[in-house]
Amino acid sequence: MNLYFDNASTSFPKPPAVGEYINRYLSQGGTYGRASYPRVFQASKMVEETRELISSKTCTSLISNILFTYNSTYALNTIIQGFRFKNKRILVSPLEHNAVGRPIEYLKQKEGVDYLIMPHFSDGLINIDELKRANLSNVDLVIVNHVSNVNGLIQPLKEIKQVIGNVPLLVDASQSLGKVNVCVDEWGIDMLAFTGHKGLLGPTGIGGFFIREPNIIRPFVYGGTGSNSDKLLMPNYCPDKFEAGTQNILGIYGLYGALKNQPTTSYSIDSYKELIRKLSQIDNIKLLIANDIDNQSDVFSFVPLKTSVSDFTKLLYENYKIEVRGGLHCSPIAHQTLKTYPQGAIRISLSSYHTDNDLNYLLNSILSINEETKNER
Amino acid sequence: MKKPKMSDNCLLLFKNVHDVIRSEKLIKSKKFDYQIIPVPSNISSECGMCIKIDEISSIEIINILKINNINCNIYSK
Repeated sequence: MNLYFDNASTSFPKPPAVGEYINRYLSQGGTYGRASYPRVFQASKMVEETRELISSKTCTSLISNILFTYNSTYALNTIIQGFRFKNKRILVSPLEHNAVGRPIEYLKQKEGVDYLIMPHFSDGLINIDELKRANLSNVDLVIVNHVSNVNGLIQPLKEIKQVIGNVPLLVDASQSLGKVNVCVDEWGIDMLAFTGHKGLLGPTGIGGFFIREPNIIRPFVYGGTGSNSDKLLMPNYCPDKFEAGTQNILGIYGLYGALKNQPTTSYSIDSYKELIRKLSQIDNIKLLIANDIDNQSDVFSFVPLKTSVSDFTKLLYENYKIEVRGGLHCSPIAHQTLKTYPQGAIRISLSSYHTDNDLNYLLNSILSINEETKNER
Repeated sequence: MKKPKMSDNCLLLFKNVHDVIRSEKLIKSKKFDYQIIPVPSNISSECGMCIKIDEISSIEIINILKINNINCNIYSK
């Protein structure tokens, strides 16, 4: 059985090809550019093949505008801290992770950049009609977490972009890429941050971002690029402008292996919906899900009402070997929106490798612990 | 990759390795002869790579690269 239900933290297991490609790099070596001998050419080629695969996954024809970083937090900081603000005002979605929350709070305190939470419903879904009525004239940037890492809600990016028009839209796709559709060009997304180790099933330490107009941000890191080396200024073209220093080529090889070997989902959608339906009927549990099941991804959380989050989490592992994450999930803004701050919740996050039997086992384990703890408070 | 003849070749120079790799893929797929070599120091002090091709194929190759939004400079002896 697969009892690992913490894939929103990092995916496990990985496709076997991830390890195979990492081993291949360790035995072959080579860096990105800087020389022309075959070992370097092969490594450079793998980096570019992986860039192309990411452009396909995000549905953009702008391959050069896919930039590699170490993870989505690094990508989001590159964009948010490098952004050229004019009016110093940001709109953010109500389910943000600290990968966005902390950089914008830093900018608020150090640079006086204000941020406002977008109008929304009780599950954090952005209220498009209310957004249409909002004054966007002095907004520099809109940031939206595509899929919440707490209740798994999927935000309607296409509709949001239609409303905000020319205001740049930055999407945090940490939980969505590899799990739900992302159509950068069709939806008009201006910037998108992603990580390799969650939905894409790659290794940790590799992520990146897409940017439609590279001139709207400054580089975050300055250094060698293997190009324009006679000048002390950073190149102003992509990907060089945002890829100073040696990239995580080991991670890129692993990510390539993952992208080329994405598994089909082993559990059925009906079984997942049934799991959600049955959990929503349990007394003594508050379920954190999208109000409309059509907006639900494979992540959700719940709060036990008769015992603590930490005790329930501990019992899931001690009695049933189920691995989940309890607490705030680095998302105080999201938990405030969902009225589960500061105690947090217990998060369940699936993988394509789970089966219907795994979901049944999970449900029965939660039911048993709920029964055992029902008289605690 | 089949090396072009040494007597009648030219070099394609790019702004970065990203464009070199993309171009190599296109040139290879069209079955042109080519070779990846270091950028000669009399052309640039850059430490990167460039692509050597048969001069006779250069116009056709340049057109293919242009269609794919890749700009390059041509260096002929």
